[in-house]
Amino acid sequence: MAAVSLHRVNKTFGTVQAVRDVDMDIAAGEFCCLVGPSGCGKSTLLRLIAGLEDVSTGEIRIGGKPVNHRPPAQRGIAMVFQSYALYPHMTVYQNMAFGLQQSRASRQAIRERVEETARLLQIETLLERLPKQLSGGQRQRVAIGRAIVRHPRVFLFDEPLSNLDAGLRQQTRVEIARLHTRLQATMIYVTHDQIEAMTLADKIVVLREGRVEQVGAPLQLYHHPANQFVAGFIGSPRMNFLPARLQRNTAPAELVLPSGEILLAAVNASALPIGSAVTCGIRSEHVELVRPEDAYLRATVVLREQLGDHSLAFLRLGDSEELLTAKLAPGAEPAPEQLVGIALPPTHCHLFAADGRACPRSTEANWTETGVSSVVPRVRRKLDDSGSPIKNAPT
Amino acid sequence: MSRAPTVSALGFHLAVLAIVLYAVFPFYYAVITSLKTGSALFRVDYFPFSWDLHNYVTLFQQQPFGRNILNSVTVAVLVVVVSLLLSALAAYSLSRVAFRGRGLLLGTILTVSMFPQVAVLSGMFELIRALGLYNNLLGLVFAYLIFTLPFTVWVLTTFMRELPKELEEAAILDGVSPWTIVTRIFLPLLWPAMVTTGLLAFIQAWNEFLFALTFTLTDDQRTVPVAIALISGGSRYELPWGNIMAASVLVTVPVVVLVLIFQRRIIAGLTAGALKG
Ligand SMILES: Nc1ncnc2c1ncn2[C@@H]1O[C@H](COP(=O)(O)OP(=O)(O)OP(=O)(O)O)[C@@H](O)[C@H]1O
Ligand SMILES: [Mg+2]
Repeated sequence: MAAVSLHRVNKTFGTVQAVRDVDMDIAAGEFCCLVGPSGCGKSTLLRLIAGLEDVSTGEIRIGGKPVNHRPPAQRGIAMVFQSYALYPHMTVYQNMAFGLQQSRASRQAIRERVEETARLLQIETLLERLPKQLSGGQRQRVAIGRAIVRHPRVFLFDEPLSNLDAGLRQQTRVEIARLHTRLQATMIYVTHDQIEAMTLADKIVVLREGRVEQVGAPLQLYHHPANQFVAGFIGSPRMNFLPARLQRNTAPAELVLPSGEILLAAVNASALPIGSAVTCGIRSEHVELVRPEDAYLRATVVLREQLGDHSLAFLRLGDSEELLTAKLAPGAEPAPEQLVGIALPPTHCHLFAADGRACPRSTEANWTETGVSSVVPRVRRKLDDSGSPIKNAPT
Repeated sequence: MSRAPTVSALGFHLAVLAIVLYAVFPFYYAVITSLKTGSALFRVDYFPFSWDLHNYVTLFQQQPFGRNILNSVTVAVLVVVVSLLLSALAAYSLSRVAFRGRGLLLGTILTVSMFPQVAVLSGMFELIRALGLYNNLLGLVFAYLIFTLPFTVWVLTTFMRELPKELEEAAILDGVSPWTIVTRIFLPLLWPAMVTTGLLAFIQAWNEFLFALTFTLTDDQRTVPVAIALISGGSRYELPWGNIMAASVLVTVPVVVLVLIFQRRIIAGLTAGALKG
């Protein structure tokens, strides 16, 4: 268990700058997820920490000590590769013991450690098999076992679950979480998968084009994204974005949509000039469907997706190309082609400036009920209140 | 509809038969000739009518043929061992270590393998004289490396390149030295390729004639191909066909046996490279 910190780390491959000025502090015992779109430098960052690549500039510290010039084996780290990279010609036992044998531990000590780890991962019965005689999930465990057996201070995972099917992925995810609790080791985990990041991480680092966009706890990133990129990247389905113009920059901010409707957002937009182009963001679970006559915003339902415990409705606002996604409780589904009213609660609206930066969201207390209610109709009947949804309502 | 496959199958089998005949007949003819003696040697027979091992016996009596075989084995084995050792290490650096001029070096190695032997003959002769290896088996080993090494380095480099990079990285994280990576991780995985290239190097060294003729002087340092060419009869006008055929059969058999033993491996080695990349 050791803290990992990166200070102004850069990495260039020829002309490609894969990592730019990354500052990162991961506390001892923390579970940190690196997320970002493909090619944003997640693997490169992990490999820099592992020492498989040398930094171009900057400093990496593990446990408080600079490790830039230490070879990988002396950094106290262990890495689990996406492809597992088990030695194909060695048995599971030999795979796990190989690293220990290099450190001249006694035969007996090695055997004990391997067996203890195998018990922990429930692979004791597989020790004499070759990797090719294992299933994907079993190989995965062996790969994790090979990392654990070395008792590293920091675990590095590069998309360890991406080769598993959905069921096994969930199961292994839970096991990794339990392993983290049990070993109390620092873990740095690269993933594409939102759910993995949200469920496993104490801290998520969002990267884009080699830069850190935001660092924070999962829910902080979810509720208070620092910019439009993070807002769009974290959360599934993706946050809805509506282009608008700022009409009033005192809380609550007032926006005008291109079609002329007015929206309110409970954010502090005082830094933005009135009249500037902005983007309003709202998550699909906060989009409320109401009766068309109760709302200023109206949309037609283009498509519905049934997902069992909830459903998604894709809505067309006016004649805009982009569809608005609404996440609905079961039983509240509108029919396709139906006209519905939309309410976007100001407290759930995010506001992004033209350069993508987010305006700080106010807490409930500091926006006035009157200010909001002057625009939002006071009575809003939910679609499902009436019992029978309105079909082809007049516009 | 059903006739077309039969016709093409027939054609296929005929073609196979023709190729097998073409490949095997000379050897077969050598075998039956080696079993004949006297004037029977000059009669054209397609079946072995006599079984006389006389030629084989005189072969060993009239010259140090046993010694020649031993020389050939020594040279070929040494060539294989040295080429594989050097080329495995070279392949590791050529495939895994990024350094300036790597492409140029690989290109040069490939070019060297294209030089005709005659072109390097005189230069090589000077070199061997300077090293004091003239009429010495070690000189032959040294000379043969010039054509086995480019080939083995090239093939092993290609194979090693295809091994996943993560394997090596996992080993680096395990704290393993480059030497151990080569010997404990790469060599076991490259085993089929090593057998294939080793065998081909063996055959090249075993059959080589020009260098062996030029760089040796005395009977007891000669290798088999030269010894066979220099087998002479009782007089200038007599060519001891029987002995020559017996000798040819004797030197061919070990190669055939080796190929048969390693047949599986060779095919595995040749196709393993073809599957990926
Ligand atoms: N060895 C290398 N040589 C040259 N460029 C490289 C090298 N490794 C990575 N890159 C470049 O660095 C950038 C970041 O790559 P990296 O593998 O870290 O992305 P990633 O975030 O892991 O992507 P993915 O999610 O697809 O795995 C990419 O543009 C990639 O092309
Ligand atoms: Mg990656």
